[in-house]
Parts: sequence; structure tokens; C-alpha cells
Amino acid sequence: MQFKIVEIDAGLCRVELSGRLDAAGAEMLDAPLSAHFAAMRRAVVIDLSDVPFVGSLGIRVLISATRLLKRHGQQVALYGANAMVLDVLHTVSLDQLIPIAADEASARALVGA
Amino acid sequence: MKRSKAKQSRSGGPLRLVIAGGAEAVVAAEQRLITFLNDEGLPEGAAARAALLLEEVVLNALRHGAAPNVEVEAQIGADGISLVFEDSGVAFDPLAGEVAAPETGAEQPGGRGLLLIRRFSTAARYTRSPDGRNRLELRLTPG
Repeated sequence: MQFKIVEIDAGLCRVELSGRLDAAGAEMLDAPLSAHFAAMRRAVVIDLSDVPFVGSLGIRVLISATRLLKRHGQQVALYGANAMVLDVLHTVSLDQLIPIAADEASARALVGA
Repeated sequence: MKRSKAKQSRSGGPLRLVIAGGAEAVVAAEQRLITFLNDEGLPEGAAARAALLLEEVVLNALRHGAAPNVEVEAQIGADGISLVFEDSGVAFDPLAGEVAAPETGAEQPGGRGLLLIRRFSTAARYTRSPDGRNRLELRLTPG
């Protein structure tokens, strides 16, 4: 599980996740992603297009990390999930906590960037 | 179900795994399950759903049920994929009761996992044996 942060402009970053967000991937991602998000002062769109699998631990990591962003008033949205991942995210009603968009342009619109 | 018959005669019996330890061990078991199902000719989506069920059930048993290990048996029949989980941890029926909403359950272990178990299995049965073992039988569609 890896991630890359791309600064798009002064107010917006794209976080590109890649790899399986299974139990091991979630443990690997948790601390570094949270550390970045705690210090982030930009809105964030998270690209899931290179994430073939998400389990409940992975969802927990997404929720706890994005909570750090929201604490500082930053908006966040997810996009690019494949059909199976999208089914998982909707099953646990993640969209009630983090907006989910089909593509990057829609995600940017959701975070107001 | 011509395909699964042919595959069964080729590869034979079920996949049996005993899983103990942490996330790495659970993910290694998921990979073996995916390989098994792929070898049987099942599509990627079905294998991914089966891996998801394995991850949720086994992590629950190991982390919250204090099970020393979880035995998993996977096989393919005419009506889909069958997954059977057995462990000697704390009695726990993942099919019983209401599951908390995501916000209230955010820090609560298991809540989201239970939703996923119910969503991705087409049939499910839980029994607790007299000798103190949890047995969870799940089915999911092969497509």
C-alpha cells in the first residue's frame, strides 16, 4: 500500500492511493497518512482508482485520517473507486461521512476547489 | 454449471486454511483463497468478495473473539462458493442483532465488518457447538 500527495494549487491536494487496502495495507497506511493529514491545510481529493480492494480496516483508516483534515476545516472527497470497492463503501454508508464522486472533476467540485 | 464441474474434477477438493497471527497472516490467507478461486475459473469480483468475507470474519475472531486460530474451508458447488469458518474464541454470532450506523460505530470494532458480511453473503448460518466452537457458514454467488 502506497500513497503519493500531489499539490494541485495553494488550496488543493490530490492523494493517490495505490495497492490493496486490506488489513495489512490499512496498518501500513494508517500512521503516515494520518501524519500528513494532521498537518495538511488544503482541501483534499483522494484517488482510489488504483485501489482494487477495500476492507473494513481500510475504511476505518480513511475515516480517522480524514477526520484530522476536517478538524482544521478542510474539505475532502473520494473518487475513482471500482465497482466492488464502491459497493463496499456504500454498504457501510461511508458517503455519509466522506463524499464520494465518480471522477476527479466531480470530487473537486464537492470540496469547492 | 458445466464450468465448475469440469474444474472440480480437475482440481478436486476444497481449500483448507488455518489462520493465526495478525494482519499479514490474514492477508496471506486471502491471497491463497483468491488464487484457489481464480484457478477454479471464478471471476475476479467473486474472488474479491470472498476475500473480503474472509478478512472480516477472521479478523473479528482473532482480534475481538480472542480465538487462537481460525480454520477456513472454501469450496465451490453448484450453487456458488461456500466458506466455512470455525474457531474456539468467544461465542459470537455475526448474523444476530442490529449493526450500528457508521458514525456511531466509527471507533467500535466490528460494526462495519458485520455490515459487509451480511451484504456480501447470499446465505449464512451460525452455530455454536457444544464443545465451544463458533461455526459460520457463508455462501456467495460465483458471478
